[in-house]
Amino acid sequence: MLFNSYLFILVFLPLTLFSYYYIAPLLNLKNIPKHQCRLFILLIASLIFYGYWNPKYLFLIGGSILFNFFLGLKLHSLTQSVSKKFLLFLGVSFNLALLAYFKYANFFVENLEIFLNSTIQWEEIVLPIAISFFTFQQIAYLVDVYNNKTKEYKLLNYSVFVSFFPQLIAGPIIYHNEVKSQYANLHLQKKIYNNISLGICIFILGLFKKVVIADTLSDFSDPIFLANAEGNKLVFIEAWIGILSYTFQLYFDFSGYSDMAVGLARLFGIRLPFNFNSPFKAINIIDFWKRWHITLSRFINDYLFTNIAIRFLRFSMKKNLTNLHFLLSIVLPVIITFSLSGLWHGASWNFLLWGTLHGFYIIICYFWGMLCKNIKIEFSKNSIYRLFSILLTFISVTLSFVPFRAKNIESSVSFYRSLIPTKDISLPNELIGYWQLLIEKYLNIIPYFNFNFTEKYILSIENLQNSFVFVTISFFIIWSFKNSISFAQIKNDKLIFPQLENFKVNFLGVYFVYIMFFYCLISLTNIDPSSYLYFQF
Amino acid sequence: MNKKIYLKVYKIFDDIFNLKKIKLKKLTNANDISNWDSINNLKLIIVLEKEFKIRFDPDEIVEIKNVGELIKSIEKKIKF
Repeated sequence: MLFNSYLFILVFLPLTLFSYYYIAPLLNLKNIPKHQCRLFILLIASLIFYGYWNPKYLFLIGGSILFNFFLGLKLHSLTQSVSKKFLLFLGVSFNLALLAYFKYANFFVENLEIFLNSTIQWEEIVLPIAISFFTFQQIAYLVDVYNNKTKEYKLLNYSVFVSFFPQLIAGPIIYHNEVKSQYANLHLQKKIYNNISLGICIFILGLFKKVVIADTLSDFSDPIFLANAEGNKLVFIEAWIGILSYTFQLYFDFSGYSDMAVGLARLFGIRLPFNFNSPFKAINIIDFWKRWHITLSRFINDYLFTNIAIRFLRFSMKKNLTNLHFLLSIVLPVIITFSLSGLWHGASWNFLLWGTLHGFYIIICYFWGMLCKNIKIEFSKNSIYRLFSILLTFISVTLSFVPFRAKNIESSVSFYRSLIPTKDISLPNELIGYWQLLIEKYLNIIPYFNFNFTEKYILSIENLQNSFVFVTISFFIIWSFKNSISFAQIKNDKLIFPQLENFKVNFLGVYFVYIMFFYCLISLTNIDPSSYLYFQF
Repeated sequence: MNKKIYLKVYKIFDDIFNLKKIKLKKLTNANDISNWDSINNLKLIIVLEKEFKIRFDPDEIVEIKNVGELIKSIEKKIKF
């Protein structure tokens, strides 16, 4: 079931909310605590939500939950460090093996075939939705139990922690000790109407980002990347329209999804962390990763990067490897971490390239920072420098999304080639006549370039105009609006977990949200709800 | 907060992050100091380990969310 479908918005969600707030208290008959009834409703709803795609994967998620829950119990009861370590190793391996089988087996076989130059009898495995996300969440849980940071004795609470439908399919990736007391105290919730009104606002904002902005942008990026995948050469302007539309599409799609998740959870009184904080306002690439897919970045930092980097660092200090110090302490851990993060997004060389590219970006950014510090130049105060760095970060990120979207490495390379300006810039031949005079008069003032009207564009002239409009609007929204976290009026230390006790919408705000909602509903008619880009990961 | 430890920590922070006008309070965290990122955080940890002759585990490193928690965990380590 998709958040942006009539079934979800008009049937599933109202029914779940009704059962949660009105039926759950009625179930309170035989000494069952009230919050358990509510949790039970959430679990049933989540299983229906997940099973709607393919009921047979309920066994997969159910098995995974049971295995990790009982392993966590055992892990918590052990004190002896050797057997505890072994159990943790077993648990993490099991989760990774499950992920490897469903996600990477096809990729492995494919490359083995190329390597051996023969075909292998192999039935392609379908990737069960959500597996990347619930695997990570449960690995984090096991490690936290191992380090005595958290524990869970109740299977019901644990199952809801993993399967809670707002965050099940594509995050945010939450830690168990962030939500365990929330799930245990569902009956003590206060300010229910406050939560509901805030939840609705954030949900509709997310829905609007997805249905109205991202889905429209996909009308421009999809045909261009399709032509690229089929081996057609793109012209300069169209290639840039394609990659800019895709960058904005991805952002609005995923941040819209994350907003919807946060808003939906809030309807049930649960606070989930925000996943985005205006990433395109970042002043460098390190800053970008503090703002883009925040919960993945922190998972990777907490469970992967710190572990790798501190070991490399200690090793190089112990052996006194001064020459290799930078390589060992910074370059290697960063590249390894980002390559793995790339591979997590998907089993292909493209994602590996994307991840590694970001790894190199980070290293360049880090050394630039060191250089500025050493020669004692402080640029950051200068507003022109700031503007330049925001633009540079934006362009670097945009360029990195070429392999993220393109079909394979060859199409990525050909896409990159099209992005480089040449002396002759061709405009669509449909423009001859109407705009011709104007263009020849003004564009030809620009030195060096030659403009001509030879090329047939992939997008129709109407879509071309729309794409210009939408890309410009996206720029405007991204750089001049406050983001959805700003609803929460929060201080820095609560950045991704806004408290927000006294949320009030004013009349104007209510009407605005209503209009957005109805516009979304109208936009949904007659089309199959489009899937989310991050579902494939 | 132990004053002696605080001053030492302050000096190390200033070396690494160029604090200037930023005050180091208990609740000061990575969002307040612009270049306090994952890489510089490890650098900070290594320098602190040398200064106080202590050792942090990876899971302790990720647990520390602000200056107050950092100083608390240093105090705890020195005591034992």
